[in-house]
Amino acid sequence: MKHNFLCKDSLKAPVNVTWEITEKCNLKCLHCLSSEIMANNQGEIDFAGCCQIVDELERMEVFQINFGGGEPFLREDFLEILQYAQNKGITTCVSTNGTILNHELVKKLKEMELLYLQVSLDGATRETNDYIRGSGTYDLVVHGIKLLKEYHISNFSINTVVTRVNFNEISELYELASYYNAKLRLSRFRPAGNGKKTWDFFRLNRQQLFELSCFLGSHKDVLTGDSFFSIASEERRDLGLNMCGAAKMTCCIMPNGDIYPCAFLQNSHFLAGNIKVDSFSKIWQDSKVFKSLREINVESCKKCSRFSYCHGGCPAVAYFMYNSLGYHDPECLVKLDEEINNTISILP
Amino acid sequence: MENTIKNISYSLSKWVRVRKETFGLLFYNGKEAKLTFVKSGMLIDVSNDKDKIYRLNINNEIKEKEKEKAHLFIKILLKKGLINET
Repeated sequence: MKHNFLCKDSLKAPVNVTWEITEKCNLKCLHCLSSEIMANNQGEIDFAGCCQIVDELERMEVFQINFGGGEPFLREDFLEILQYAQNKGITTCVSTNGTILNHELVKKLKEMELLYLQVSLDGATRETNDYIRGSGTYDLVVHGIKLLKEYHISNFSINTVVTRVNFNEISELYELASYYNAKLRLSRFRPAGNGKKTWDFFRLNRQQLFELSCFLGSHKDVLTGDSFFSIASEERRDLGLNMCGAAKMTCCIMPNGDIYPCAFLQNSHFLAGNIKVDSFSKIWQDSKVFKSLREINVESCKKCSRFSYCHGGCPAVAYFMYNSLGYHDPECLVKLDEEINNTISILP
Repeated sequence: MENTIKNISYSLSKWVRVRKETFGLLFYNGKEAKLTFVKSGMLIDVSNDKDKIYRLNINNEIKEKEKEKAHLFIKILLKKGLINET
């Protein structure tokens, strides 16, 4: 049903916009999707420009802005930008690495009503997290999470990018999040930025994907940001999107104003425009890149029993694997099922 | 009954926002980050004042038969807690 609404006619505006507000970051995570934009150093839109963008998003009736980066709190005027968006009635979500949360900052965040926080933690143990995110980060992040609990901030989640390295700690992360009155949010590891280099090492194997699908089915309170719709089980069918939302209900603004369909498609092939050259609404409505994403047709998936669950899955992963759109997501639950069944059938 | 209902304005519940789309109305609950697609076409009007207070009304220009359908949509929206009677 959602598919019909999103594909027949495109929405007049995105539902939410991901905005990588800064190139600055104090970490060098092994799976960082934004490592290329940080290396390019193409500059950031200034405060006045950011306010103009917020004004336009408000005019277009965009419901939510998801701020990321880089590390958003490293940008000196970020709190002002955040407040400006909230004053316009736009719900805001900030994805932070959590290492610079302190009393002063958390007190200010406590005052903000339309704010959700996602704090990244990639392991339930110091060893695992620090392997991925850098030495000493576990202690800093847990300190930040403790502060959020101390100040009774309830709208926050612990965000984990699921990899082969931390897969066995998901249950512990779930318990850890509960302990701090937070939700656990699991994100899919995808081949973007540093993730291209670490893809083969970090990506889940088929058995792990199957187990993750079962875990998500039995833990409906775990958030996924719709990143695991390709392996969604029946139990989670109505919890989120059943297809990729890139260019249909979301898109991504880079620190320099470049616009892409999603944060995982930051490739010149998918550059839809720049907000300093064209208005956001013009890019949303007229971009050829966006139109092509809205018309993706994964022929090979159409007869699949799970087509209504995922509509072909994540184009970013498919593009990385096959260098073309229109292919199915390689991390597909049906293929996984077939392989496991075949394995069982040859047992003596 | 219909005559009394059709002149009522409805306001949005706390945390809820709405916008018109070609298929009808798109609701967003900011507390739960949840979307509701309502295929109401032109049956329900949305207006807002300078203070951005949104009001929903059944479109006065639609036929009586369509008004019944509009009432059904309103009932469902009330039940889902997305709107309130004002």
